[in-house]
Parts: sequence; structure tokens; C-alpha cells
Amino acid sequence: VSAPAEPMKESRTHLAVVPAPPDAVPPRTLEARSDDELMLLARGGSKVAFEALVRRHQTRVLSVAARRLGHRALAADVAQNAFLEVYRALPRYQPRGMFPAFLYHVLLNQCRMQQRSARAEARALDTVEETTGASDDAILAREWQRDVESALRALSPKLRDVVLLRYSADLKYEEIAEALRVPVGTVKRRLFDAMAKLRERMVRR
Amino acid sequence: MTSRAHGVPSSRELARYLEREVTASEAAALEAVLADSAEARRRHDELARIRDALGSPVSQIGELDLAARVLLAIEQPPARRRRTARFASWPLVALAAGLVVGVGLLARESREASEFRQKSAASPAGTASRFAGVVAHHVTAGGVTERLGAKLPARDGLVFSYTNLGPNPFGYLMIFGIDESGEVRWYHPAYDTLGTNPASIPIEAGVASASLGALVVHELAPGPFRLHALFTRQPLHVVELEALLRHGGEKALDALRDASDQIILTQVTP
Repeated sequence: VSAPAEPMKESRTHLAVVPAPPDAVPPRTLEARSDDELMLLARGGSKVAFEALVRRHQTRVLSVAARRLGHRALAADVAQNAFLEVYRALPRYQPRGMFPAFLYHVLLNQCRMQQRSARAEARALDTVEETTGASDDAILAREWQRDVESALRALSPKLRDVVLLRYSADLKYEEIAEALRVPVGTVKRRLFDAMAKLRERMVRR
Repeated sequence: MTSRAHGVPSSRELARYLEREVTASEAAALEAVLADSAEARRRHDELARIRDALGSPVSQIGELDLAARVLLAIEQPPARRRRTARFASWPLVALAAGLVVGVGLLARESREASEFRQKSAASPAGTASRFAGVVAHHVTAGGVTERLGAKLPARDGLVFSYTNLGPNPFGYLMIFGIDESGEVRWYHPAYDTLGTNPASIPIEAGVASASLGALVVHELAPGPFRLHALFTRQPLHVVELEALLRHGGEKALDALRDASDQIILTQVTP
């Protein structure tokens, strides 16, 4: 092994990996900002603002997608695509305090596209879980959870979407109405119908 | 209130009650029924349990770092394959590895020829970094191996050996390079499949000049190239590390606790 042809330079100068100015917003303050503020910061070039927005919503978005599609891995892809769609929509986003409605409108569209695609097969939610060491109560609770999700998949898409947006996404009626482009009264009617049907199915199981 | 059989409210009515979508008088009437009727309470509780089940996150979904995936996808359009690395044939690897292992003192020399950053001289990492380091060799297409110096031909692959001695050696290592445009090229772990998120490689304690074996070849752009060998106590993941670099630049590595970052500077030549 030969020695280096020239001595290596030593320097403590750091390369700029990303341009700093667009992300000048201190990350600590981002959590306190509204969705609309984060969207506007992201539109201005702040990727950390968009990251904060994704982190704020990701668990609920993933849960809605997983329950809507019945498949966790597909849910991750769909949720990712939804956030990318939101990112692409930054230039035309209207800050009206309805970001969740906008986000879930995009997400449900992505779910529908996924279900229409050839890859979308009717597969059971991949909730195979490790039960070793779990208490009887924990096992029963998981079984209940699986049955509820199974009953949910048996609902019509219209009823299922309202239930998911209300409980899994924790949206208000007005936000659900905006996301689904239906009147608030329709949202309520579908929600109560859906809950009655879900209970009926759970009793019959 | 309508459609009650034997005085028990319907599921629909109870769902409205759970949502507070009843008038005060309806709520009072329902509460009176709930106080008297075990069947009504059972229905109410079942509905509440369904609502709670749907309100809880899908199991294990919280473990997925969607934000990191989204940011990665934003910065890297699917059509573009920028991190592709390839592994050279095993005979070449064996040849290169053999040459590397034969050089016992190169780790110390490497430390002299490269830059180290750690939290402070008094920190455990500061002590450990004096005993930890890597040596890089570049390997030509013809199989000639030379210790990496000031110049790195663009098409040459790199092999590494590491030393991890001292009273408190490290447990994990990442080796990556950053070119002039800020693009990160991974060597260990060799990140060659998009959508994955490999972790730091575990390293042995108490070894000197241990070969990492694989020869990793990137197609590099000519220009300055900074190789980082990041020794840590806990494993890190590629996506997290890249996010850290994106947000804070290379200085962000200073924020890693109890870690040692060795930097080797070289120039990629056409």
C-alpha cells in the first residue's frame, strides 16, 4: 500500500449541505403554529415547517388510510403520496383554517385511486400481532379492535369515510363536510347510521 | 326520540347522544332511560367502545416515520437514482480487504491526516475518538489498491478498515461522503435501495485495522468530497441522518451525543 501522493488538507470549514435561510424558523416554535401557518412557511421554502406538519398529522393519516384500505403497507404508500400531493399544492393552498379537510380530501382520493389500481386486492388488515406474554384482557381488546375494523370494512364507502374522518381523524362535522363535499346534515346522518350498523355487526359477530 | 322498542333507545339515538347532538330535553330523557335500563347502558357502552376503538391509532403505525419518507421523496423524484452504489466482484474485494488488513498502523496515521469532531475533549466520546478511526483505500477497476489521499478518481471504489480500541469503544459506525452539491453517498451501510432505511453497522470493540470487507463504488462528480466516519454508541438510521444533515448541515453532527465524527477530505478527479 503506497502512501498518499499528497498530504490531505485539514480544515474545519463545513460545506453547506442545504441553504440555511429558508429554514431559519426555529424548530421549537413550529409545534405551536397552526396548520395554515406551517403551510405558508412551507410555501416560503421551509422544509422543516412541512416536516412539522407531516409529523403532526401522520399517525391519524396513517390510521385512516390503513382502515380505509385494510392494509398497513399500502397505507404508508398512500399516506406518503397524499402528503406529496399536499406539498405540490402549496402554491395554490388557501389558508382558511380548513387544512385537515384539505388533507383528508386528498388522502381519500389517494385511497380511491389505490383501490382502483390493479394492485388493490381485498386483503385483510395485516394486524398479525405478537400475543406472547399478553394478558387475557389485552388479547380480548385486540380481538375487539380487529372485529371493529372488520365491521368497518363491511360498511359502504360513504358511511365508512364519515366514521373514519370523525373518529380516526378527529375532524369536526364542518371539516368532514368540506372534505367530502357534502352538507353537514348529511355528515351527521351518515355518522349515526354508520354507528348503528357497526354496533349491529358487532353484536352479531 | 322515536323508534324505541320496549323503551330502549335505538343505537342511532344513542350515537347522537354520544356526539352531543341531542337537545337538553332529549339528553335528560335518555339519561333517565340509561339510569333505569341495563340494556340501554349496554348499547351505549358498546357504541362508546366502538368509537374509542376507531379513535385509537392502528397498532404499530406510530413506528413508521412517515415524515422522513415524505421529505426524502420531496427531495428525490422517483425517476432519479442518485444513491446507486454497486459492489465489486468478490475476488476484488478479497484482494482489497487483504491489503487493508495488512496495514496495522494506518489507523493512527489516518487520524493525523483527517479531522475529528467530538463534543468536548473531556467527554467520553472525546477520549474514545483517540482510539477509533477508519482508513480508506481506493481501488481501481484493474484492482490496484491505494490508500486514499488528496485525489480520488471518480470511478474508483472505496474499501475501509476501522480501529476501535480504548477503555470505552464505540458500538456502531456509519461511513458516508458528501460532495460539493451536498449530496450524500453511503458506504456503510451501503444504501442502494430506495425506500429502505438501513441502520449503522455494528462494529467490534477492541480491534485494530479490521476490514469492513465490501468494496463500494459510486459514480462521483468531480470536486471536493468529504468522507465522514461517524462512530456512535447507538445505531442511527440513514433517513434520520440525512434529515439531520439537511436541516443543520454537517455542523448538525456536532449535536449527536457521545459520538465521534472523523472527516477525510479528498478531491474527486475525472
